[in-house]
Amino acid sequence: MSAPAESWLQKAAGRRGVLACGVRLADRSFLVRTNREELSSVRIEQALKKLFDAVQLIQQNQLSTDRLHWSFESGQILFTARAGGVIAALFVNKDLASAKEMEKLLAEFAAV
Amino acid sequence: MSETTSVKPRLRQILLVDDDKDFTLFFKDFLLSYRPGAWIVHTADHYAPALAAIKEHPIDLVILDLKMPIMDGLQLLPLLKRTHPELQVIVLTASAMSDNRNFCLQNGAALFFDKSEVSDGLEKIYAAIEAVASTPAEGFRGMLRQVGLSDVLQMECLGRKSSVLEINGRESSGRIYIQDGSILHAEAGEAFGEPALFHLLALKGGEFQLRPYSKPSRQTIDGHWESLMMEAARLSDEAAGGALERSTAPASIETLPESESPRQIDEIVVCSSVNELLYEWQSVRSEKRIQLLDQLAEISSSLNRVLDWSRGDRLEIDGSNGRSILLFQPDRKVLIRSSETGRTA
Repeated sequence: MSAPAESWLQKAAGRRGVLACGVRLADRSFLVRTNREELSSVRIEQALKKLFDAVQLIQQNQLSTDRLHWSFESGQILFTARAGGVIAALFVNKDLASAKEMEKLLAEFAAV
Repeated sequence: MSETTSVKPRLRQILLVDDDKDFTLFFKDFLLSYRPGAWIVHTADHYAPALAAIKEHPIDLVILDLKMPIMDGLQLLPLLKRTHPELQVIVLTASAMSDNRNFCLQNGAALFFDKSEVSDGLEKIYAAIEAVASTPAEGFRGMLRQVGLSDVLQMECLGRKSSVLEINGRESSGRIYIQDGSILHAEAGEAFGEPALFHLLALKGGEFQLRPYSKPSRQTIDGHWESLMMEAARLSDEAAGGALERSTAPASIETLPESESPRQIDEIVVCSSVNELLYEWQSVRSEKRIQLLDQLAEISSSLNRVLDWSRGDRLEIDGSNGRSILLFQPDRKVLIRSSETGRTA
């Protein structure tokens, strides 16, 4: 899983509007790419842990988690959860990122 | 087409339900002469024309007699409050026994008057009638800054509801007519159609109320509501100065891609900042939902601290069993779950 995830991260990080991206793997390790100094790898890892907690809660409530979209005043997180606790997340600038492109990226991750 | 807007006080619509036609006529004349131009008065001598009038017109207030044929006021009152909870009802009856008074007040009547005490001078109760007519009973009422007007409009369309969204902003006012989830008509001052819709959705503050559906004078909008909302968002962004950036980025980044299929709302839960249930609709596990909202709001705050991205106020979840929108606002938290029509989760 690690190599395909690395490849996906490299592709995602190059897309317009993507500030950072990350993956939580089934073994609880993290892979992170960031384009912004203020969004350090440590911060993105912490955020991925929070997203994992959120996904767990949502699934416990019998809501499926194919695609999730968390809006903040200064940015957005688009993420998807797969079986085994695997999560892929895009941290984006909402004014620059293309919704279609982000959706396509997440769909590609789901197919990896 | 002019987009000039102006605030005109809206005529209040009142329905007098009483089988005593002489009294109804007397009451109607009184209302029309006491404050000319303030009221549109409808009358009904029993329950059937009353229900028809409520369906046909945006009634603000019903004045209800108790002793009527076929279905008396004691039966009609609970029916009205069940089917039209936003309606204000004043009971005006000669049968003013304490049992009737208690029953009516417990079943949603705003006021209860003894007809014998007022028939010589209706001006005694005019101020009360006017006050009740000006205050929606349980109709949705909120500040646009707290609950987005577009959120309410989206809920109505997703739920394939029929209603009139009446908006009173600081500088202008207007109405949006929704029938079976489609936006049919909008008017704001002298503007109508899409310009009026976009103008109303761009208002920065004010109040709105959901009123029972009434047919608009004409249909001026025929676009799909999702496209209209996206266009409204785009125009709003342009007005805020983001036109250049937006021109290269689709506005749809604001929401998950919408399905072309019609959607229905399956569940709504609204709770306060201290997790008190404020409203639920078709939620069989509202306590669990409130717990979920509370825990996710906490995670939202944590993410904000980690990323320094300011408040996270909206989470959209899309999956095989439907779509959920969760709103985390300072004074309330909201969960709305929907699915494609015919695919209830």
